[in-house]
Amino acid sequence: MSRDEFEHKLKAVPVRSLSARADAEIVAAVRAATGQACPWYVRSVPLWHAAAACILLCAATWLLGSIGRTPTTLRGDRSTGLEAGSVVVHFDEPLFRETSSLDRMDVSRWRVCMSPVTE
Amino acid sequence: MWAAFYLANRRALGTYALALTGNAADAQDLVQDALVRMVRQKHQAREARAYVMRCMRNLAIDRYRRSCSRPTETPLEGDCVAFIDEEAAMDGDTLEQVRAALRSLPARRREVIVLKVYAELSFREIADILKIPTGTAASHYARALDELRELLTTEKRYVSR
Repeated sequence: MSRDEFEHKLKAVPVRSLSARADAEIVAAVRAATGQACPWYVRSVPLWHAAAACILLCAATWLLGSIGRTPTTLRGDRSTGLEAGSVVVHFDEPLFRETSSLDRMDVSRWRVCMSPVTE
Repeated sequence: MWAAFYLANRRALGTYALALTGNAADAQDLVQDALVRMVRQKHQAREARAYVMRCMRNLAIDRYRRSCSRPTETPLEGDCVAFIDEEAAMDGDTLEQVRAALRSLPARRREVIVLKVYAELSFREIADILKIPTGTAASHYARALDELRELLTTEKRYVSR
């Protein structure tokens, strides 16, 4: 019998392994130890993921806010159909929302015009 | 991670633990303690199998020394062939011959046979576990195979007469 044949025969000897119950107990113990070794905030969300999510949230909030506050400006020309030289500004938010009764505003030189953007 | 590691390597770990301890209850404790130690040490899973098995071996040696209160070189002293399944469908005489032949091997060579044949480890992993050069692990294995072959062949001749 060659060495390879003998090795093959030796491998054919049936081997015991730990029972399914032992497996379950080992897995449970390992999982419990893993839970103790890692606090929940490290285990469930890696730190850099949390940091990236915060940055994205801040960026999205800032962008949405600035879009809301940016006035739409139209200049009078042929494409807009407005009087040449006039400027029409449309605010998404009320213009006087943040003014108080004590603020003074000179509206004597304001001119009423038709805005192409109608609510 | 370590739970998945155990499930992927349960056969190798279980077989080696049974060979080290000689009974199923101690084998379970040994595997569990070694894995929990890995978790607590936050050991990375690189070449983890050899590392865990070396940890198991060290734990088994410590326990054996404590239980016997005398130093020993290797823990494979008890029922060192407990990993062989006696209830499996195989010729009883052949199984007993293999068990007897394995018992008669020097402890280090028997350990190499267990790791190579039954736990299916590479020579490099065996060398890592036993803290010996890879070539030495391979030569232990070759000599152990020759001894076993001679023992089993002689016994068969004796039985056939």
